[in-house]
Parts: sequence; structure tokens; C-alpha cells
Amino acid sequence: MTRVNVPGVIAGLLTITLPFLGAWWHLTLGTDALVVSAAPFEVVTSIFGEKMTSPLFWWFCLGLKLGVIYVGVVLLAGSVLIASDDHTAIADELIRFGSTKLMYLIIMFVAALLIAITLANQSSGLVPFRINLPYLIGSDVISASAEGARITIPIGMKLTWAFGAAVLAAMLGIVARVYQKKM
Amino acid sequence: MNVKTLRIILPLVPMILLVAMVAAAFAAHGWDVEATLFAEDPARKMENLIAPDVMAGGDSFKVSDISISDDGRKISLEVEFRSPLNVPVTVKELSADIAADGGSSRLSLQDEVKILPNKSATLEIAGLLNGTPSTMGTTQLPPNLTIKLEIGGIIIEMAEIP
Repeated sequence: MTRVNVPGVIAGLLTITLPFLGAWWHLTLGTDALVVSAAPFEVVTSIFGEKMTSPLFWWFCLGLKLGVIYVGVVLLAGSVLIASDDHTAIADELIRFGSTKLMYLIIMFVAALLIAITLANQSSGLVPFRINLPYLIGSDVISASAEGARITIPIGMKLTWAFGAAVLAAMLGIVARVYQKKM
Repeated sequence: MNVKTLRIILPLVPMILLVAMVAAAFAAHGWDVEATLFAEDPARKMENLIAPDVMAGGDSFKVSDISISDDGRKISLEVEFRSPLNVPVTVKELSADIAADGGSSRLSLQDEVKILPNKSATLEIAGLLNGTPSTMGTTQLPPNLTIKLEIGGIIIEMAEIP
């Protein structure tokens, strides 16, 4: 009977692929007036197709991508190493470390978006137009009028399948941790 | 390697990675803080969306032709619109009042027009005529001009453009 932690192996492999699956969430103003594609390890902003970049942020995101890959490798290594009786303690430690980090990342990412959207919605009193942004997914329209001019901005938000893959990987990580304790 | 050492090393690696990447960002840009923070000046990038001569105050609208149908009941104005933006613009609606001795006529855009970045297009506005228009022979825009533009999915409506 194999002693490999199967949920951990799948979670580890899935975590390693996450930085290559693209953005987790998209925000669109108009059709392409402003497009924000975000994940914990990348934020791409384009205004009318022109990408706005910061080299520092790009390098920081590269560090985060490598960090996510590192977590996946640690989880994978622990899940495989458990088969060796000599390295059980180390495998336990690797799985303990690697199994929860992705979940924390998802929670922080979602919380950051919710806080940003809530603050934007609360700022309606500060700007001369009503803001009622959807929470993470959905669409709405912002309208503003001033001195004979009126602007109407359709807003769309959506979570991508890459976010679903991240949630699945995080859940499998938790399952791997529980499974490890029962092995 | 024992578990205690591993417990210290495991969380240290991502932190070292992040610090190394931030240092690499500065090193790759000659330790120039501004160049590291911004690849291009964001304000200049936004200015690039607007055609430079429009920033200097150039006119976007000019009446290029006025014509009246043979039966004298319909008037058409050809308005040359020069896009002030370096992004595609669609003129969805354009209307204006034209004064005539019998009152005024409301002229409206016949078809929506797509204009390429920083290019001009001729917009035809037409309407039924009540008398002789007072703007014949001028290139001045008629009063009460209203326009509805679509820029990247954003709708902008402006009234009484001077």
C-alpha cells in the first residue's frame, strides 16, 4: 500500500501551476477603458489597451510567484517524502507549512478586494456621483452629471476559473494536512 | 537536517525571495528610485491619450457644408469632428438647433460614426426646416449642440458645447 499523501501531491502540483494560470479576478470599466486583472502575485492594469506597469511591482510579483511555487514544491515534497519512514518528521513539517499558506493567500486576496470595494462604495459621500460597486462579481453602472455633461461608466467584475483552481488547491491542502495526521 | 532547523528555514525562504526581488528591481534600473517605481511617467502616459494640439486648445468641431433639399424642407449640415483622443471614439448622437426666420429646427445625426484615434470624420446632421436658416454661409456651430460619445464603452453626453 502506498504511503504517499495523494491529496497533498495533487494540491502541490496544482499550487505550482497557479502562477501560470493567469488572473483570479477581472475589473472592467467600459469595454476596455480600464481593465484590472488581479491575482495575489500579479496585477495588470491597462487603460485603453495601454498597460500601466511599475518595474518594482513587477519584480515584487515575481517574488510572490516564486513564493507560491515554493509553497507548492514544499507541499509536494512533504507528500512524497512521507513514504520514507526515515523522514516522517520532516515530511510532517513540510506538509504543515505548505498546506495552509495558499488558503491564507486566498483569504487575504478576497479580504483586500472586499475592503477596497467597500471603501469605494463608502466614498459616495465624497464624490458627486453614486458608487454602488458589485462585490467581487456582477455588473453595475456609475453615472455622474456636472455642468451640462453626463458620464455613464459600465462596471463589470468577475472571478476567473484560475481562482476556482486556487480554491481547489487550498482545499486539497487542508485535506492533505488532515490526511497526514491520520496516516 | 532536523525539524527545528526546517521550521526556521521554511518561512525564511519566501521572505528572502521577496527581498531579493525588490533588490533585483532596483539593481536592474541602476538603483534609480523613479525608474524603478515607474516604467513611464503615468501623467505623460495619460496625456498621450489626448492629441497634443487639442491640449493647446484646438477646435474639435467645424461646419464644413450646409445644404438644403430641393423642396426646401430639409436642411443638412456637415460637421467636421476631429477626435481629441488617441483612442477610438464613436459619435452615437449629435443634435443642434438651427435658427430660421420661422422659428428653429432641430438637427440630428443620421448615423453613428466611428472615428479612429486622432483622426477626423464628417458627421451629417439633418432635420426639417422652418424658414430660412440664419447660419447659412457661416462655419459657426449652431447653438444648443448636444453630443453623445462612446469611448472604450464609457458614454459621455455633453450639452451646449461652445
